[in-house]
Amino acid sequence: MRRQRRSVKFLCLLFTFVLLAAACSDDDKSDTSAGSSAAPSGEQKKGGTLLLAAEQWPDCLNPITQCANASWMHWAVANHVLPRLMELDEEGNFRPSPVLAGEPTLSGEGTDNGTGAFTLVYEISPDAVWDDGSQMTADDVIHTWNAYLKTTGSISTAGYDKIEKIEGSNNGKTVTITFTQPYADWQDLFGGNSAYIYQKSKLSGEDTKDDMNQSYGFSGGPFVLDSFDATQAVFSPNTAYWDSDRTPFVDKVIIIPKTDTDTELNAVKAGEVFGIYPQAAPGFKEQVAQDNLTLAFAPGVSYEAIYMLQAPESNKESVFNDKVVREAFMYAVDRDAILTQIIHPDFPEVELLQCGVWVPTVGEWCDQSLWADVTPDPEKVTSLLEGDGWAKGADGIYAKAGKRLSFKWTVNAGNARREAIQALIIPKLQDQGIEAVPDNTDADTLFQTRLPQRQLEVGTYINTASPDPSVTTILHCNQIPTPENSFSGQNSVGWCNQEATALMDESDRTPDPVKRLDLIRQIGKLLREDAVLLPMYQLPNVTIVRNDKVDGPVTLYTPAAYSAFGNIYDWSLK
Amino acid sequence: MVLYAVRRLLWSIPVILIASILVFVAVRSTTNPAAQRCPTCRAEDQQRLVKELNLDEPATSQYVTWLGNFAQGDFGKTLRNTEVWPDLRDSMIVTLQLGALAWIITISFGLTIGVISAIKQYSWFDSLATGVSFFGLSIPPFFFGLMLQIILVLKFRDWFGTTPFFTSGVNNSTSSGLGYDRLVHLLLPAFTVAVQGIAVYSRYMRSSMLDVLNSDYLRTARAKGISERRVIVRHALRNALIPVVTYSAIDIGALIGGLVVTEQIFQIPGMGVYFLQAFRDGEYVKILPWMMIVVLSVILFNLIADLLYGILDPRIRLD
Repeated sequence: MRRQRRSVKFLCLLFTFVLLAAACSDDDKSDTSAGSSAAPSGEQKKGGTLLLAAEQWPDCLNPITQCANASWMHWAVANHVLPRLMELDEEGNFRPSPVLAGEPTLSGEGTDNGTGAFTLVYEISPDAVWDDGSQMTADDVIHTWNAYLKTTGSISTAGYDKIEKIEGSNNGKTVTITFTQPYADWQDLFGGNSAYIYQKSKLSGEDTKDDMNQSYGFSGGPFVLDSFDATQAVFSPNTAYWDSDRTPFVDKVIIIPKTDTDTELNAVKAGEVFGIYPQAAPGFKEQVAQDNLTLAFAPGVSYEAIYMLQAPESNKESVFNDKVVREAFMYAVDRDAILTQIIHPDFPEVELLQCGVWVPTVGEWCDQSLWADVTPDPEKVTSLLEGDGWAKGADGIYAKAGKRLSFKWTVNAGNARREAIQALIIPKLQDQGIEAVPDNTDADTLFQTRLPQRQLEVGTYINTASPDPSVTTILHCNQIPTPENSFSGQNSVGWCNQEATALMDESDRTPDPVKRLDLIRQIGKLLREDAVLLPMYQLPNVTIVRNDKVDGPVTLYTPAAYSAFGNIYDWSLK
Repeated sequence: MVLYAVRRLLWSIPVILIASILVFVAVRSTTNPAAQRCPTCRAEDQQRLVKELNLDEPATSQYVTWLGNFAQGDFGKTLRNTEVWPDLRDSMIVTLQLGALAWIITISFGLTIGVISAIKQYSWFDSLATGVSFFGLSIPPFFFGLMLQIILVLKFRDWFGTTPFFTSGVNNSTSSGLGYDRLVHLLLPAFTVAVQGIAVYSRYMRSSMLDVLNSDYLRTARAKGISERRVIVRHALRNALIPVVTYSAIDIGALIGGLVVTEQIFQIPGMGVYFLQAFRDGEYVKILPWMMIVVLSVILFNLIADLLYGILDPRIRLD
């Protein structure tokens, strides 16, 4: 009895201590507000440390090699440090970046001033400097051009290989780029969606394979990258940055990886990070319903599709080399079920994407009739496959000439939405005689190694539609990464259609939007005829921020191609 | 005792050598170092790398070279051309901290619960402890970890306005090193690791104590008038601890590489996450020293367990 009383007393004391400890400890567990100065109402405070989480973490930072395949390499690091010539605003429109003194001028063939070679002239701002104070000049642009062309494993040479010469004048502040032919997607060179310019004096040479993998060593953006490792990326303001509109409010930004969706959500709910940019996942709207969280949704420029790689390096004899199999697969996948069961519970407004590699919110390039006929149709699947010589085996899976209709389906592990899609669709495929085996891997391995090397058969991932409709970088015959070309190029799906390639070349040298629209639509039709991919939906972008921690236009960039973190120079702490 | 320890250490050498051969063969046969070293390289560059990494030499020669370098602490360079040891060292330190904290929690709670359960056999406490033990044994660590995040961080914050716990990481980003900040960050993952350990150790301790409590020498001690508390603490506990302590020494060795799930859930950059990342990237230069460190720790702690057994039980002659 005495021991029991003692035990009860001990438990009571322990409970009291816990309550006291909880009540007395500071709610803000980090000193991220330290140094913030008071400011009049309506003004944003200066100082402090901004903490953000990244859903995927890049393994390397080089924007010229296949490291650039990982969107989060740009969103978490490169966008804040590296300058561009042309950039995208929050609505996806091209505009001159602060590096430029104004709009560039175009002349020559294909323009209103239509004589001579297609020529582009940029005026670099006299204030535009690198973080070491040296001027940004044409030399940097020329070196960048050579780097994209000559780096081993360059992510893309498309467009750069259409430049005949680049000349500098006016102390290097005027950059004249002469093309071998009109090039419509000029805005994505040296900028745009995922390209930048680099400081020539800080790179080892024109082959940048070994440069910029774990750090940059220079900056031309609002921030300087102080450090990068597996646990965090730390930025501080670039004191040499000349654009006062983009001078950061905070003293430091730290971006940390939270690659597990639940942990990421719990971290922002707990206030351990102040903002996240998660991919939409089933059920998370309910998880983040609390007063101090602001959720922003917007149709982005990203779309998710199921890609059927042709003759991938991992399996040259893939069943998807057969166009009939690709066609049958498209009719076997129940996109309606994906939408209603996985996407609509949180985003009821999302519709099926029927136009392939464009999105209806960017220009008029998207032809929503292309995949409109693709509805779940088991009878059509049967007739296509059996008409092609496939027959069901004893295990219920189609086979032909000893080869079973079986493939590996890869998504990035930990992505709740994609794994839910696999879980939903794989049994349905099985019922129709098609065997899909999950072969998932972490995001940086998938996007920075396996996809560039075409080491998968079927993948589900996001691509981003540029404001420019050119698809040369992702679908041209000479952009297929192979061991022979050191895995250079982004046509990971391996589609090579000579007619489509010719149309891509023609559309790239056709600045006239009306003529170009017709060419793009023809490419879309060929894409559909060859059953290269199965588009699913335009993914809504989601930003979640702690409204009691951060201030400023924190959700402005939710629809942007640069992610919600695209304007963190404008974020401040409360 | 000293002779025994020396003899065991000498016997460990062939065990380590055999383990190193198995590790080397397993890792080399499942990775393609030249291809992973430079996946975007041209064929001639890959050939150059083959020579640089001595991959064109016979397997035995590669093994001997690797073992010699390993013994001298030269673990080579990663695919990104960075030294292996700094990251491996940092991962090891984090896992050791997490493992140590988890072990302290496991031993403290597990032994206490086991002793009380044995003393109060068939009481309500014993029944409750048994039920909770089964719960602890059956609950998956990843589920338990997420539940702890929700309850002790989010719900706690809702109820009390604050919480001493964190959902992930080893430090606040504005802090570094080992201190109070790291301690409170590691508490939740340590509890996650400890939950199954507490269940196991409480059952072990209970069983061991029950064996001892009914011994003749304890009956003699009570007959001599020694207080029950002294009987339990000075006489019963020490003997009951023998199997538990030796088991826990082996357990510690296994902790070095065995916290993968917890580290993943709580985003802790420890040995488990290190191995997963290296395995996915095919970084054989990282996998090899990792596996050897795990092997060495298991061997070392097995030795410690044997030595402890001899220290705790004088009836056992280590010779």
